[in-house]
Amino acid sequence: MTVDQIVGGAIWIQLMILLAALVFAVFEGILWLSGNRRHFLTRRRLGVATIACLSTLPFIMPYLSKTSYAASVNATDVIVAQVLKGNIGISAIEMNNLFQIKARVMEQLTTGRTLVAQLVIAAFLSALILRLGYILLNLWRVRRSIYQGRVLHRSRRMKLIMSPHITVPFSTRGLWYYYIVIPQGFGGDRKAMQMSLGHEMQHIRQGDVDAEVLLSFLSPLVVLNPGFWFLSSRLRKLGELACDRAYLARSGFDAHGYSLRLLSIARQSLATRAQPTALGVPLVGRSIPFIGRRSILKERILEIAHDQEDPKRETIWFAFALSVFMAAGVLFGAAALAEPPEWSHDRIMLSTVANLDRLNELNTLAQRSW
Amino acid sequence: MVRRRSEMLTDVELEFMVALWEIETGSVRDVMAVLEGDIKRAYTSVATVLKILEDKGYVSSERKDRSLIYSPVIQRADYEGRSLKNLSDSLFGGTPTALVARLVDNEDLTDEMIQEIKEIIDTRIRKDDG
Repeated sequence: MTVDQIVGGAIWIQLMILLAALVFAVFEGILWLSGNRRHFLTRRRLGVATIACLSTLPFIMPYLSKTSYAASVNATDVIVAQVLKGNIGISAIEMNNLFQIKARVMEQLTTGRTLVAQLVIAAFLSALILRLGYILLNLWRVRRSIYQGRVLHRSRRMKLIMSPHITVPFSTRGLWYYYIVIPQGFGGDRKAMQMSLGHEMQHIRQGDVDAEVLLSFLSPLVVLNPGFWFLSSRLRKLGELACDRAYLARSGFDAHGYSLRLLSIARQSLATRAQPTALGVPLVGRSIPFIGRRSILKERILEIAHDQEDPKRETIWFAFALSVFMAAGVLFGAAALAEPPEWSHDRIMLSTVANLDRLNELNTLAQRSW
Repeated sequence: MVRRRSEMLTDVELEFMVALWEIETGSVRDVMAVLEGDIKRAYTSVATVLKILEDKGYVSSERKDRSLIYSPVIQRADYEGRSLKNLSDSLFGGTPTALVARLVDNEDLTDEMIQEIKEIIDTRIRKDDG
């Protein structure tokens, strides 16, 4: 594999993530405008389908780009055809120069000759290393909580651990087991144990734990991509909202008591990590870049109240139908942005026109100099 | 309610402690005088923060004439040591934030936000115990 292929592949993946996030955002907008905002499970399934579609793209695209369908929707060829028809007011030379931008960017990034290219590479590598360090630190913290905790219960796929090191219950997974880790302070509080266990079991059932682990391990490679942060933060939030709803529906746990306990655990967590926050919060928090910190807890409590006033029913078919349309949207976008396997007649024609224009310019200059 | 001694200070509380460490002992008005120049604070606000610091075990109070005189219980060097330990705990210990699904996320909840959420729970979410 050459450096060109690695850099080209990395740029393509970043572009595809942005495209998928855009398609997901469009669907989110449609659901919002059509009054289906509170279909959290459907929206979450749509998000999962977006990521599944993204992960299959590298395997599908080599075949898809060779089909006549892909050629007919290719954005490059469509634009070239419009330029040749005179529908876009741009000269053939300028158009050709635009097409060469990508090749020039690639050349600069692979050789690192310009300062801008060096800065881009340095920013990407620094972000990757920092994020990797953060993930490894968290991996160490997870292992510490698990191995220094006491196993309260063990089943075929799951272990329940009580840990002295944490204040907020959490669930995670290893290669073989799912782990639900409960703070030691919850030992004497049966209701808190029941609620934490039920909530985390619901996360495991929904696939949130698998998604979280997968996204965390992928994050160093896409840490500077806003599309990734948009998708992952939406998935996390929708998973939490869907989890609250499903847990309250199936457990019969009092919604009022549940909400109070959530608030109490959030306050406890806040108290134990007060000063010094300058270094602590940015490293341990989950603030969204450029948006800052918003209270997800308040949104969760508001939605629990909303569910009591107006319960929502969701069907898997609605999510399935939307996911099919969404996957079609991502594939269409990927085919449109793909580099054509070979030059079309229109592209050859454009190149010829650009060369003739250049010759004409040279002849004109030569005649003037005489 | 007496809070746990191990609780660390918020930014505002730390500012008050720095003032108190500076004057070593003083009334609400003495602390206000040291803090003056930054932000104009009401007497009751200063008294409330000092009361919180007393609840947290950082200061002690003694009644003299008609006013309370506050003195730091924990010295600056001790607090700095505790801060460093807390920093190390927040970096290398505590609940993980990546690779896990947590019951509640880390949030910078202010007292106002907590009060607002509490009101939503009390007014909009009914109890379904029965």
